[in-house]
Amino acid sequence: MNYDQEKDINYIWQNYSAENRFTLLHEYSLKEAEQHGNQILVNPLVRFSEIFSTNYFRTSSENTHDSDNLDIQKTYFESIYNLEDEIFNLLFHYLAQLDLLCGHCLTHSYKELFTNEILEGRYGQELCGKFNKLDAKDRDIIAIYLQKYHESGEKKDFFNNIFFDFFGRINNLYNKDFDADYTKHSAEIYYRRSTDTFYYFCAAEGSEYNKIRFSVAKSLFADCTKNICPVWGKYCFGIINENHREYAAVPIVNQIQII
Amino acid sequence: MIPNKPPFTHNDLSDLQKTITNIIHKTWQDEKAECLESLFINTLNYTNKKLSALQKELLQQMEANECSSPYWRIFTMLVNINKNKDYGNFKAIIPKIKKINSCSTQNNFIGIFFHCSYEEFIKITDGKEYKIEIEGDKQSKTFYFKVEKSDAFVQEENVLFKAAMQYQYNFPPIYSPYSRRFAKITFFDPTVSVDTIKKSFFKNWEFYDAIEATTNEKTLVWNIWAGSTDDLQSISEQVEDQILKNKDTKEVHSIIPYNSKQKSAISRIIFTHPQNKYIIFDNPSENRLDIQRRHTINNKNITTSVTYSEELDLSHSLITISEFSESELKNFDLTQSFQNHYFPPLFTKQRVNSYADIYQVVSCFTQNPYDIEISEEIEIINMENLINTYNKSKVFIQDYHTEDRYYKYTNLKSEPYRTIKSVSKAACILTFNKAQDFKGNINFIEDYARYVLSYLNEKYPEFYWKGKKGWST
Repeated sequence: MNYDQEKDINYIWQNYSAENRFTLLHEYSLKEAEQHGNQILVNPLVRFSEIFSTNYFRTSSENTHDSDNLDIQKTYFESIYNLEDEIFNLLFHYLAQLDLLCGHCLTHSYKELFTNEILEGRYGQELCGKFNKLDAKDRDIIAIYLQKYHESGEKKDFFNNIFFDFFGRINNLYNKDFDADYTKHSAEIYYRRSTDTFYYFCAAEGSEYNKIRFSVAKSLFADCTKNICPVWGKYCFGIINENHREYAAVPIVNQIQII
Repeated sequence: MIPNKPPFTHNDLSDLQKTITNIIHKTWQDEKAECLESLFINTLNYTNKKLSALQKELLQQMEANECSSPYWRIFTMLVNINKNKDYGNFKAIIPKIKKINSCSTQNNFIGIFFHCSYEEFIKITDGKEYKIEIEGDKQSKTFYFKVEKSDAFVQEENVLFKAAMQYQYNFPPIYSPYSRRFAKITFFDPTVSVDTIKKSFFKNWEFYDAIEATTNEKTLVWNIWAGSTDDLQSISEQVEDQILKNKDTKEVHSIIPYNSKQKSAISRIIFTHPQNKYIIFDNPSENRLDIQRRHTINNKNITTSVTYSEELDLSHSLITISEFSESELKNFDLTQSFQNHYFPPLFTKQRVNSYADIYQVVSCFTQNPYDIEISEEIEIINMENLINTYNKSKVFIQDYHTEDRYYKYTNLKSEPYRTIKSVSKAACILTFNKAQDFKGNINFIEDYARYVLSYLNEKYPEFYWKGKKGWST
């Protein structure tokens, strides 16, 4: 997801950049923040009203928390409007930074919990070791899929989904070194009835890292009663001399036909 | 949407605080700078505190969503008999050993606990008749007796399984190998005084080494008390009016119990009691009772309410699961104690699909206090191959006989039964090993395996779970 181009934000921490300028939104809004180029209009009432109703801004000496009290509201608005632009901007940069450092979202929490389950060895020490060798992005993808898998009650088709996420279809980033003619076939799954085996053509190099990635996904999500065979290499499946066919019935690896 | 990390390196709060303080002191001077610095420090503390509290609440909510039932810690132990019958928070299980008939020759018996393997125990207790000679002061005397397996202790476990069924308890309820090593020895001579017989009496018997103790020396205790509900306060409610109101609109009222007739009067009983008590309702019909168990406002007590058709004659009894401290356990011989040990994950699998799922459900049993390991090498075999493998080499751990199995209680005719689904297309073979520092009874490793496999077969019938011995005898 390309965060830089996205303009529609809801919170001050989204699309965060040091060059943003936070200013007060002078009209009613349900959203906390609206972005217009580098300027972010903020409605501090959504989440931060408590901060601004502290003693630091109050002009009266009483310390009450009654939000219906008109004096408090008047003081609050006065305090917000009386803040220098620089201080307002600095303060909201600070709050956005704090959100990013200390904040939590449900997705993050679930991700952490699922990752911890793997790292504690609940899924076996071998899987834990392989999982540790993956990079952060792949670990994130696996954690997110684990959550969906759990919510679906361990449905069987998640392995295919994560396989295509890793080894991709047309927008596959992992086979950018390959010729376009080959990548248009991209990753595919074939079933061969005679051997009762599913062949997962990965459209990628059989590097150590790719093999670990496939192995982790298979251990976590694939039906363990099925025969699953990964196929590596840049040559896709096809029938010899049948150029018009996009999908083949007989798999070919490294130009050798599998019998 | 997952947020990006900030573009400049503030890895922790103190780092961020230093940056802000520098900016403040560069831009403003004197009092204003100090005031602003103080404002920002307080904002940091406030935000950090609020967000940490939110996260804690979030995690607690997630845990509560994932795991709704509490874990029942059930211990069974073989202990020396206490004359005062005082076992602390544990209670002696009193088995109901049935007398065959009024003939006195068949009623002169004692109970014996064995500690041999289950296979050997079955061979010994096959209703065979034995004789032993014991040297007296003047002459030796011959005693004839019969040894029969008794499931009297296993029958006592019914109440626990009934409670587990009624309260949707999803963890394994009990692990009790000695209940399944109990036999009745009946002497043919009615003059034999069975009240004084101890293990040493059988020293000339060929199976003397298989004996653990007689019921004159040791008894089986557990931390479950079964009793009546007379002490508990109850409120009966008639809720007939609510049905009559809905008669015209024909709306199904939410409290009408499953399968009951809408027109009959509905009653509800409500009890308030401590958390560790469970009310067992005896439902003579096959209808599922509408039992609800909720915390009271102060969270110390539980309110149990059951809604039922008035035509049912609903009787009820109470079981208490006693809690106890670790220090109390030190009074007992821990090699003779057995707990329904289970280490639940946060995210429970509803079914088993992948290899990782299998490891996860098995991992609940691997960290057990019995030094028994379950190997990470798990085999998946087709059912056809399993039968062939079984015929060739008998390495699998055989299950208990039907009456000894850890079964799920059912209401049908109040008889418990056990079924294993035969639609599993594959078997999953687990290998049980003893750890290096294993100190327990080696014959009970298979009992632990049966405890694990019984639970897995009930909860995850996608596979037929079998166990294999990983050690040589």
